[in-house]
Order: sequence, then C-alpha cells, then structure tokens
Amino acid sequence: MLQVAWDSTSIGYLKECPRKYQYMMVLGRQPREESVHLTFGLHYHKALEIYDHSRSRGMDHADAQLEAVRYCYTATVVRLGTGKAWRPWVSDDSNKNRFTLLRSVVWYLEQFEADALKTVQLANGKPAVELSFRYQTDIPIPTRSGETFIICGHLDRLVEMDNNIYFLDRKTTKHTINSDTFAKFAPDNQMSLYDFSSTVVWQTPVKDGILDVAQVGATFTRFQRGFLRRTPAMREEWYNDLGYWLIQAAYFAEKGYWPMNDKSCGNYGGCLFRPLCAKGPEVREKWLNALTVNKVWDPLQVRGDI
Amino acid sequence: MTIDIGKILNAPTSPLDEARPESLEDLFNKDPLELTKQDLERTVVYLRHARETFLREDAAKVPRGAKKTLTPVKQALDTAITVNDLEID
Repeated sequence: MLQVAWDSTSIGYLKECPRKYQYMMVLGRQPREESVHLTFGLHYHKALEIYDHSRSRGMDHADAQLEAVRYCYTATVVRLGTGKAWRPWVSDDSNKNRFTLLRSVVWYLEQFEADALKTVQLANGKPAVELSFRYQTDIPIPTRSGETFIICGHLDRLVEMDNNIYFLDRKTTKHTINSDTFAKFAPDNQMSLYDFSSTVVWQTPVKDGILDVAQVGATFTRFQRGFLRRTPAMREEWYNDLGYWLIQAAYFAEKGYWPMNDKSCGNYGGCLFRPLCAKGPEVREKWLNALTVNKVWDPLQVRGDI
Repeated sequence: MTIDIGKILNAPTSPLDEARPESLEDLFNKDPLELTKQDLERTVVYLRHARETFLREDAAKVPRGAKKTLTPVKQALDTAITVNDLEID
C-alpha cells in the first residue's frame, strides 16, 4: 500500500525508520503505552487554539483565557459510561500533568497577552488558526502514471507583524531552553514542511517561522520565542530531498518491505516500538497485537479551515 | 485595646487569599462540567499570582560570578517582543 497524501508526521516516520513508518501508517498500529508528551502537547495546542479562535471572534483576552482554562479542565478527564462518573487523566510525569497543563496555558496567555503578532484573517473572514492544508506536488508517483504526491497538514497559526507573514508553531519541552533548542530546528522536517507549505498556502514566501517553546517544569513554565529562517534555496533543497524520500517509499511499498533503521531505536528517549523490534522476525507478528493497539492515522483529517 | 472578632471574621478577603493551593485542588477534584465562571476566574487568579511569584524569584537569581542586576517585575512581565529584540540573522 502506497500513501499518496503525506503530512509531516508520515514523512518524519519514514525518514526516521521505514519500519516504524510501516507499523504506524501502513498497519495503523501504535504502542499500547500512552505518550504523555503527545497527550500533553495535543491538549496544550488545542487550548491555545481555542483562545486564538475566541480572540478572532472578538472575545476579549480575559474571557478567551477562561475558554482555554475550561478546555484544560474538561478535556483532561475520562467520562465513565453514560452517567456522571469521571476520572482525571492520570500522568505519572511530574512535569506534564493536568496541573502543569493548566499552568502552562495560563502563563503563556499571560506572557503573550500584548503580543505584537496578530493572527492573519483569511479571505473567507476566518482566522488562520489550526489551518488545514493540502496541495498537489509535482513529485510523480512512480507506480501510477500521471499522478503526483500530495502534501497535507495543519499549521498552528499564520501571523502578521510589521507587514510580514510568519507561520507560528508551539512546542513544549522538559529541557532548559537555550540557543541549542532553536538550533535543533534547522534543519528540521516538520518546520521545513510548514515553511514550504505556508508559502504555498499564502501564495507568497513567508518571512520566517516563529517557534514559541515552553519549558515545562514541575513548578514553573518558562517561555522563549525564536525565529526559524529558510532561504528560497533551502526550501528548494528540502522539497527536492522529499522527492527522493517519496520515491523510496514507493519502492518499499512495491516490494512490500520496509527496512528497519536500527540507528534510530535510541532516539528521543527510545522508540516505543523497540520492544516489538527486539523480538525475532519469526515471532514478531504474534507480538504485534500484544504490544500495540489499532489506531489509524489519517493525514487528510481536517481540523480547522482549508 | 479590644479586639473586634466580628470585624476580623467578616473582613473581605482578596481574590488571592481565596485562591490558595487547597482551593485549586478543590477545583481539580470537581466535575469539570460543574465548574462555574467564578471557578475558572479563581484558577486564573491563582496561577497569575504563582507566575508573578516565579518571575520575581527567577529575576532575583544571579548566575555565579555575574553582577547582580535585578529585572523589575514590570519589565519581566513586558512581552512586546519584536524581531529586533531577538538575535537572528
């Protein structure tokens, strides 16, 4: 099976490890173990998205902030059955839990209340927040005559400052923020895709990417804003490289074999599929159901506006 | 000197006094669907206060060997960042 529409998550897995890509995207499997970082990040993004939307609808800062706070409380509980019973999201991570989520969202909105960045208003009058996009590339699909790959995804926000357009993304980390934090995003697949796509979506090159990084500690959250610049030649290089990666994916799909990149197993604190890959290939399929759950990732799922 | 117990008991408390850690914990234990606007506002007040305390203490920290120059809280809270404030090419 060959994926035609690619988002940064899919491309990232392919680049990281074709076998991981196969598990996640082709077979639709995910590790049973919940990633607290993923859950925290999703809620953090959603809460700030709610704030941005509320502000764009004309709500003042204080009320929009309350909307974000309400989301943090309500989204981090699990409803049990149809009754009134519920239980909170339980995290054993002292840095990333219900309280630190709420604190991080409120502190972010306090810090950036008087932000110089203004959300771009789209031609349809809607704010450019959680902006879903998709477009046809000119990268041919080797096995399908005349067809080309699609790039898709979601931009957190397009913002304007001093008559320039920027794409904005938010990240959370447990680590201290310093110059190395931002250096890690050049090069970076996700940011390069956002940069390239912002230019396509806005139909004019964006000036920069803006990254708001939150260092989430047990007792504090600290923020730092950094700028990510891609020159036209860098954009072109990323896009050309993508073509090679996608053609390689088509080759793997045709062969029905996605090789393991065993140099990536230890990255990011260790791949969650490592316990599965540690089993012998002759028994791995049996372990697949035991160690993973079915969860299909749809890169074309629309979150906001197109 | 006589102490007016009634006056003390009826003295208005500030929102910050209301928003003690215990009271926030209370809100975390409450069904989110039953949270009122006042509950949400109390959350913000509590966290705002916590942030101001953190910024004040953080600004007072001096790196070893560095000259002590405190950042006023007002300045630390000022967020109007522009590109020129950042070290970029």
